[in-house]
Amino acid sequence: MRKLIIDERIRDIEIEFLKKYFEVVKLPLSDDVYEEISGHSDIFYSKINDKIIEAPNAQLHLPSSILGATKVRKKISR
Amino acid sequence: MQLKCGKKYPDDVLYNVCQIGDRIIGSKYTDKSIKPDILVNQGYTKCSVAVTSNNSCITTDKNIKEELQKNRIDALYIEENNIKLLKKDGTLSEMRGFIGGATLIFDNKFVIFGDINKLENKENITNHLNKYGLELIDFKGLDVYDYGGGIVI
Repeated sequence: MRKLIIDERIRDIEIEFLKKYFEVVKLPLSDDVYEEISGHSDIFYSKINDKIIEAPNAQLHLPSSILGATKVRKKISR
Repeated sequence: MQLKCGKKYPDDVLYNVCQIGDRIIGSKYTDKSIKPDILVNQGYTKCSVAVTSNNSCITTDKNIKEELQKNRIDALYIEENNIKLLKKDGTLSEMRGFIGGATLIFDNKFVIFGDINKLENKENITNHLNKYGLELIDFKGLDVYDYGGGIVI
Protein backbone atom coordinates (compact mmCIF):
# COMPACT_ATOMS: atom_id res chain seq x y z
CA MET A 1 0.00 0.00 0.00
CA ARG A 2 1.24 3.48 -0.83
CA LYS A 3 2.24 5.75 2.03
CA LEU A 4 1.05 9.31 2.43
CA ILE A 5 3.12 11.71 4.53
CA ILE A 6 0.91 14.50 5.87
CA ASP A 7 0.78 17.11 8.63
CA GLU A 8 -0.06 15.54 11.99
CA ARG A 9 -2.74 18.22 12.53
CA ILE A 10 -4.96 16.58 9.90
CA ARG A 11 -8.51 15.95 11.15
CA ASP A 12 -9.82 12.44 11.88
CA ILE A 13 -12.50 12.46 9.15
CA GLU A 14 -9.86 13.30 6.55
CA ILE A 15 -7.55 10.55 7.77
CA GLU A 16 -10.37 8.02 7.66
CA PHE A 17 -10.99 8.85 4.01
CA LEU A 18 -7.31 8.75 3.08
CA LYS A 19 -6.79 5.43 4.87
CA LYS A 20 -8.87 3.77 2.14
CA TYR A 21 -6.07 4.53 -0.29
CA PHE A 22 -2.90 5.01 1.76
CA GLU A 23 -1.01 4.07 4.84
CA VAL A 24 -1.19 7.52 6.41
CA VAL A 25 1.98 8.67 8.17
CA LYS A 26 1.62 11.77 10.29
CA LEU A 27 4.49 14.21 9.93
CA PRO A 28 5.57 15.52 13.34
CA LEU A 29 5.87 19.28 13.84
CA SER A 30 9.33 20.79 13.50
CA ASP A 31 10.83 23.64 15.51
CA ASP A 32 13.01 24.70 12.58
CA VAL A 33 10.33 26.68 10.75
CA TYR A 34 7.42 28.84 11.86
CA GLU A 35 4.57 26.98 13.45
CA GLU A 36 1.96 27.26 10.71
CA ILE A 37 4.13 25.27 8.30
CA SER A 38 5.91 23.14 10.88
CA GLY A 39 4.15 19.94 9.76
CA HIS A 40 3.92 20.71 6.06
CA SER A 41 5.42 17.98 3.92
CA ASP A 42 5.90 20.42 1.03
CA ILE A 43 8.34 22.43 3.13
CA PHE A 44 10.61 19.48 3.92
CA TYR A 45 10.20 17.27 0.83
CA SER A 46 10.01 17.68 -2.93
CA LYS A 47 8.79 15.02 -5.31
CA ILE A 48 10.34 15.25 -8.75
CA ASN A 49 9.84 12.50 -11.32
CA ASP A 50 8.74 10.17 -8.54
CA LYS A 51 11.95 10.76 -6.59
CA ILE A 52 11.82 12.35 -3.17
CA ILE A 53 14.30 15.06 -2.24
CA GLU A 54 14.28 15.70 1.47
CA ALA A 55 15.71 18.50 3.57
CA PRO A 56 18.63 17.40 5.74
CA ASN A 57 16.55 18.36 8.77
CA ALA A 58 13.28 16.74 7.66
CA GLN A 59 11.43 15.13 10.57
CA LEU A 60 11.26 11.69 8.94
CA HIS A 61 13.94 10.11 6.80
CA LEU A 62 12.22 8.51 3.84
CA PRO A 63 13.77 5.44 2.23
CA SER A 64 15.33 5.99 -1.20
CA SER A 65 15.12 9.75 -0.82
CA ILE A 66 17.81 12.10 -2.04
CA LEU A 67 19.25 14.43 0.56
CA GLY A 68 18.95 18.12 -0.32
CA ALA A 69 21.89 20.47 0.07
CA THR A 70 20.53 22.86 2.67
CA LYS A 71 18.47 22.70 5.83
CA VAL A 72 15.18 24.53 5.91
CA ARG A 73 14.97 27.27 8.52
CA LYS A 74 12.78 30.09 9.62
CA LYS A 75 12.46 32.98 7.24
CA ILE A 76 14.73 35.70 8.54
CA SER A 77 14.05 39.21 7.34
CA ARG A 78 16.81 41.38 5.94
CA MET B 1 25.66 30.10 -6.12
CA GLN B 2 25.31 28.37 -2.80
CA LEU B 3 22.41 29.40 -0.63
CA LYS B 4 23.38 30.92 2.68
CA CYS B 5 21.35 29.73 5.62
CA GLY B 6 19.30 32.18 7.58
CA LYS B 7 20.84 35.35 6.21
CA LYS B 8 19.23 37.02 3.23
CA TYR B 9 17.13 34.22 1.80
CA PRO B 10 13.84 32.71 2.87
CA ASP B 11 15.23 29.42 4.00
CA ASP B 12 11.89 27.69 4.43
CA VAL B 13 11.04 27.56 0.72
CA LEU B 14 14.05 25.60 -0.55
CA TYR B 15 12.06 22.44 -1.32
CA ASN B 16 8.72 24.08 -2.08
CA VAL B 17 8.65 23.26 -5.78
CA CYS B 18 6.06 21.56 -7.93
CA GLN B 19 5.99 19.59 -11.14
CA ILE B 20 3.47 19.99 -13.94
CA GLY B 21 3.98 17.27 -16.51
CA ASP B 22 7.73 17.16 -17.08
CA ARG B 23 8.31 20.78 -16.05
CA ILE B 24 9.61 21.68 -12.61
CA ILE B 25 8.37 24.99 -11.23
CA GLY B 26 10.58 26.67 -8.64
CA SER B 27 12.15 29.96 -7.64
CA LYS B 28 15.59 31.47 -7.27
CA TYR B 29 15.53 30.19 -3.71
CA THR B 30 15.11 26.52 -4.68
CA ASP B 31 17.73 24.15 -3.25
CA LYS B 32 20.63 23.53 -5.60
CA SER B 33 19.81 19.81 -5.70
CA ILE B 34 16.73 20.73 -7.78
CA LYS B 35 16.88 22.33 -11.22
CA PRO B 36 13.65 24.17 -12.03
CA ASP B 37 12.59 24.57 -15.67
CA ILE B 38 10.34 27.53 -14.94
CA LEU B 39 11.26 30.18 -12.38
CA VAL B 40 8.59 32.21 -10.59
CA ASN B 41 8.85 35.02 -8.06
CA GLN B 42 6.85 33.22 -5.38
CA GLY B 43 9.13 31.15 -3.14
CA TYR B 44 6.16 29.19 -1.79
CA THR B 45 5.63 27.71 -5.22
CA LYS B 46 4.15 24.34 -4.27
CA CYS B 47 1.95 25.94 -1.63
CA SER B 48 0.52 28.21 -4.31
CA VAL B 49 -0.18 25.59 -6.96
CA ALA B 50 -2.63 22.69 -7.14
CA VAL B 51 -1.65 20.60 -10.14
CA THR B 52 -4.71 19.28 -11.99
CA SER B 53 -3.17 17.53 -15.01
CA ASN B 54 0.15 17.28 -16.81
CA ASN B 55 -0.54 20.70 -18.32
CA SER B 56 -2.82 22.54 -15.91
CA CYS B 57 -3.17 23.84 -12.39
CA ILE B 58 -5.03 26.16 -10.05
CA THR B 59 -2.92 28.85 -8.43
CA THR B 60 -3.42 31.57 -5.84
CA ASP B 61 -0.49 33.57 -7.22
CA LYS B 62 -0.88 35.96 -10.15
CA ASN B 63 2.77 35.92 -11.20
CA ILE B 64 2.77 32.13 -11.25
CA LYS B 65 -0.27 32.19 -13.49
CA GLU B 66 1.44 34.59 -15.89
CA GLU B 67 4.68 32.60 -16.02
CA LEU B 68 2.86 29.32 -16.55
CA GLN B 69 0.67 30.77 -19.27
CA LYS B 70 3.80 31.96 -21.08
CA ASN B 71 4.77 28.30 -21.06
CA ARG B 72 1.38 27.24 -22.43
CA ILE B 73 0.21 25.71 -19.16
CA ASP B 74 -3.50 26.20 -18.39
CA ALA B 75 -3.38 27.99 -15.04
CA LEU B 76 -6.59 29.05 -13.32
CA TYR B 77 -5.87 32.00 -11.03
CA ILE B 78 -8.04 32.40 -7.97
CA GLU B 79 -7.92 35.00 -5.22
CA GLU B 80 -8.96 33.03 -2.16
CA ASN B 81 -9.14 34.36 1.38
CA ASN B 82 -10.81 31.44 3.14
CA ILE B 83 -8.00 28.88 3.35
CA LYS B 84 -6.77 28.70 6.92
CA LEU B 85 -3.48 27.82 8.58
CA LEU B 86 -3.07 26.25 12.00
CA LYS B 87 -0.84 27.05 14.92
CA LYS B 88 1.07 24.26 16.62
CA ASP B 89 -1.72 23.67 19.11
CA GLY B 90 -4.24 23.25 16.30
CA THR B 91 -5.96 26.59 16.80
CA LEU B 92 -6.41 28.94 13.85
CA SER B 93 -3.61 31.26 12.81
CA GLU B 94 -4.29 34.70 11.40
CA MET B 95 -2.14 33.82 8.39
CA ARG B 96 -3.80 32.84 5.14
CA GLY B 97 -3.24 29.44 3.55
CA PHE B 98 -2.82 28.51 -0.09
CA ILE B 99 -4.61 26.25 -2.55
CA GLY B 100 -1.67 23.88 -3.11
CA GLY B 101 -1.39 23.14 0.58
CA ALA B 102 -5.11 22.68 1.02
CA THR B 103 -5.39 19.97 -1.61
CA LEU B 104 -4.13 16.54 -2.59
CA ILE B 105 -4.49 15.06 -6.05
CA PHE B 106 -4.29 11.30 -6.64
CA ASP B 107 -6.04 8.68 -8.79
CA ASN B 108 -8.11 11.35 -10.55
CA LYS B 109 -9.36 12.62 -7.19
CA PHE B 110 -9.01 16.23 -6.13
CA VAL B 111 -9.20 16.30 -2.35
CA ILE B 112 -9.88 19.60 -0.60
CA PHE B 113 -9.16 19.54 3.11
CA GLY B 114 -12.46 21.06 4.15
CA ASP B 115 -15.75 22.01 2.51
CA ILE B 116 -15.57 23.62 -0.94
CA ASN B 117 -18.64 25.65 0.02
CA LYS B 118 -16.38 27.57 2.41
CA LEU B 119 -14.33 28.88 -0.51
CA GLU B 120 -15.10 32.06 -2.45
CA ASN B 121 -14.02 30.34 -5.68
CA LYS B 122 -16.18 27.24 -5.45
CA GLU B 123 -17.61 27.69 -8.93
CA ASN B 124 -14.30 28.47 -10.64
CA ILE B 125 -12.65 25.47 -9.01
CA THR B 126 -15.53 23.14 -9.82
CA ASN B 127 -15.56 24.22 -13.47
CA HIS B 128 -11.81 23.66 -13.73
CA LEU B 129 -12.08 20.20 -12.16
CA ASN B 130 -14.86 19.28 -14.57
CA LYS B 131 -12.74 20.46 -17.48
CA TYR B 132 -10.00 18.02 -16.45
CA GLY B 133 -12.27 15.18 -15.39
CA LEU B 134 -11.26 15.24 -11.73
CA GLU B 135 -13.53 13.96 -8.98
CA LEU B 136 -13.95 16.44 -6.15
CA ILE B 137 -13.63 15.06 -2.62
CA ASP B 138 -14.36 17.48 0.22
CA PHE B 139 -15.50 17.36 3.81
CA LYS B 140 -18.85 18.94 4.47
CA GLY B 141 -19.09 21.66 7.06
CA LEU B 142 -15.36 21.90 7.72
CA ASP B 143 -13.21 24.99 7.26
CA VAL B 144 -10.57 24.53 4.59
CA TYR B 145 -7.12 23.97 6.11
CA ASP B 146 -3.72 24.20 4.48
CA TYR B 147 -1.71 21.15 5.61
CA GLY B 148 1.04 21.59 3.06
CA GLY B 149 -0.56 18.98 0.82
CA GLY B 150 0.93 15.52 1.21
CA ILE B 151 3.75 13.41 -0.20
CA VAL B 152 2.85 10.01 -1.63
CA ILE B 153 5.67 7.46 -1.50
